Amino acid sequence: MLTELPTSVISKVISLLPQQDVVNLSQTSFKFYEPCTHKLYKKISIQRNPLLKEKNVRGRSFKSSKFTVIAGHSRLELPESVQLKLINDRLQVLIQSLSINAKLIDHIEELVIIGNFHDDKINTALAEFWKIVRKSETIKRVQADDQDARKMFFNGDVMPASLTNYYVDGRASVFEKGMHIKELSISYTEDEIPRSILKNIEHLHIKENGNYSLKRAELQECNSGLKNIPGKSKLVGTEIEGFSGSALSFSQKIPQSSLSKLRSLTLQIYHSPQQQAKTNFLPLVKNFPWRDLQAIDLKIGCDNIACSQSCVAQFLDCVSLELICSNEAKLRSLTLSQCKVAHESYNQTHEFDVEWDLAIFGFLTTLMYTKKYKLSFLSISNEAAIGAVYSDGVEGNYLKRIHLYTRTLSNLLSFNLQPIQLELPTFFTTLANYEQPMNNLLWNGCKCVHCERTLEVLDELLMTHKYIASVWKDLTSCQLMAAIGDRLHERTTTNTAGLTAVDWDLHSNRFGLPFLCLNHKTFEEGEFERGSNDDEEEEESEYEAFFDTEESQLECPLKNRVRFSDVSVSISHYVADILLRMLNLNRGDAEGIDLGGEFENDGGSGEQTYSEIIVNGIQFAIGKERNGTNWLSCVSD
Amino acid sequence: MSQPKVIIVSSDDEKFPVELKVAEKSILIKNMVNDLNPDGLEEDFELPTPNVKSTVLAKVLEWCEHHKDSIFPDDDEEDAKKSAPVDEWDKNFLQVDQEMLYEIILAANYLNIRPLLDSGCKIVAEMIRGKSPEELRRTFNIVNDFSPEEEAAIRRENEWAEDR
Repeated sequence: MLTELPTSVISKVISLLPQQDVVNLSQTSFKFYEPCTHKLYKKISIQRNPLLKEKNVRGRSFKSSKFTVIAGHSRLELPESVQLKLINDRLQVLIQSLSINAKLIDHIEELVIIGNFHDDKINTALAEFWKIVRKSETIKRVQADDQDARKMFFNGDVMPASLTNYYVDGRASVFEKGMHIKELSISYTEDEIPRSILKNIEHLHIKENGNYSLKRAELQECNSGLKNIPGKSKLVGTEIEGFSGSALSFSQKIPQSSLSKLRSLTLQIYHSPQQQAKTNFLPLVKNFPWRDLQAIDLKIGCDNIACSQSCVAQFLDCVSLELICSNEAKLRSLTLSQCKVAHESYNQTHEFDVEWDLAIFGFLTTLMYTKKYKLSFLSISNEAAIGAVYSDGVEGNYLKRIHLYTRTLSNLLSFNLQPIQLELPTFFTTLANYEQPMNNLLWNGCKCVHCERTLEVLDELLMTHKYIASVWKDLTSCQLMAAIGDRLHERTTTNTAGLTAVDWDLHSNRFGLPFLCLNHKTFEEGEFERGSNDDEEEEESEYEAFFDTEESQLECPLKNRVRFSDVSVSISHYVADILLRMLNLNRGDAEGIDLGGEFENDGGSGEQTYSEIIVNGIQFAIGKERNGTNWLSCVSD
Repeated sequence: MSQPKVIIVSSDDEKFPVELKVAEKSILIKNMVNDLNPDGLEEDFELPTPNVKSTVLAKVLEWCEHHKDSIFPDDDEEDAKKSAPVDEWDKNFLQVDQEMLYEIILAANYLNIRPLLDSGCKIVAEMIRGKSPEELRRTFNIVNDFSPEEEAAIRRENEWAEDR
């Protein structure tokens, strides 16, 4: 009987359950109440949106089981006030339970606060909650990536003695109190961190404050001149310069070989256009024990036209030299993301982004060809151009991009010793920078009943909306898909507890203002008949740019015709198509043989390179049938 | 000459001769073999497993035989292993009645075969998923030992974590 299994096994089973099932099981009998309660209170994540539900049974993972999540309603379309009220209500019940049954406090080990709620009631509740939790002798970790949100927890007060992580925003004097820190996150500091603290650190994150992409959007807004926010552009600019400095200046202060226990490192390295001199990466590389690291997370990029990503390649060369000289390949997890700020139009070319890809793939090639790695996680994310607009007008070659991220990457990863979890958080968004594949997706793509219906609405959306790029312009498939891709990407930005559910109102985007609804189709405006005169068009559009959307925009009739969950399914079909080709599972007729081709002797039953692939927040599981054939199943959509 | 074998003896005295490679899927057996044969296995080696019946042991060894060449993630990679779906072969292999499933889990726990224990626990977790407390009691023969007041109090206590 289940009840006769030892407690250790029962706890193991419970650790694999989604939270509602843990709640249900806790109500069955005393035998299960205790371990279920421990599981529920051990790791708590407080976030705006709930986790994304895994829809398909095949390939369903046990990811959603790591944290107990306090979030808003699963019906994301409900108004913000309802969502925030639910979060507040949940917090109130939790506070009440902790006050009635004080034993519960000692189950709490980890607390994660994602984002900032900007809500007084929730902030008061959080403060009250923290007042209770900080008394606990078990709390080990508090994660709050939003700088304002974490002021509540890391505010200079004496921290719980059991806490093993700390954030440094500015002054680092707190360390004089003698803490046992294993994880340190630094956004900026001029202070030196004592050697006694550094020697115990296992996880070090050196990165700039808050949400990077938000800043990018703000900057874009300032640049586009739509909103005149005094001083904002300057502020954003300074911060962006600041972080390249912080990693470098901080690393120079680290005494050599003081980070002897370091296992994971997050670094942000950015070469800004203003920074003329080439950066000397040697101190940055020399001061970290790369050979012992199990997890490396690099946010790296160059916006300096004269340098054109050569610094990225140079830095990665230094790192790969360190890595390949180690006796043992200890690296398990590698995250590489492009750090890019759309300062001017010059870096908005395909060539500029391809240079970054080449630097990254050069690095991966060196690693995979020289050592046998047992990587379990790899993530590569590019920064797509905002609004999918490329200034030099060059189209770019999307087929090469697909080839690079599917075949080339698979070939490299086939040298890895175990199936790997691959995450490409922005791959679809970068494909939205090319018109041809997006037109294909919209008009020549999947012909299933679902896609026929959904893509028809998207087609209508395209025909009746404009987007802003200093003036209102007709929406093309690129901007539409980029907006969708950005939203899907948001599912992955908070990866502590799994993918997060997100919604989209068919209009909001990162380009500036929401898409503008017209009550006619864009091609019916008659501009072809009049003869397209650029000046005339711009004059007309500029007028529209100042038009107050809040008051005059009508409720879009398309809003009720399609939900974002429908759109994401259609995108998942498009992405699945690319992945099936990559895995040689797209043969349709299973007997078909790829004579003379790359897969001549592979009937889709080759070595399993991947265990899971996540593209723009769309999750695919990969496994083997009992007969040895690989299978791919979209779990999330 | 053929390789020396490990002969695993079940609680009901049935003998199962297997290759060393197969037996070593059990960390318990692997350690015992290594400790008692520091110079390597030179002849057949008999090992009793007093907690495991022959029917269960046969199943467990079938799993070990199938997975003798499989590479499993390291033990320290808790996250990767925890979230991975159950292997198709394992899923099919573990389609047995509840009692047998628990016996296999207990044996895997005792013999320290982590990947088999993981798969077994995931199958049980799948069986628990999506059921109300009452359905859970029925499916798993759980006796409700709460008073109605206690039951209500527990429901209130964990209400903050319920799906909405």
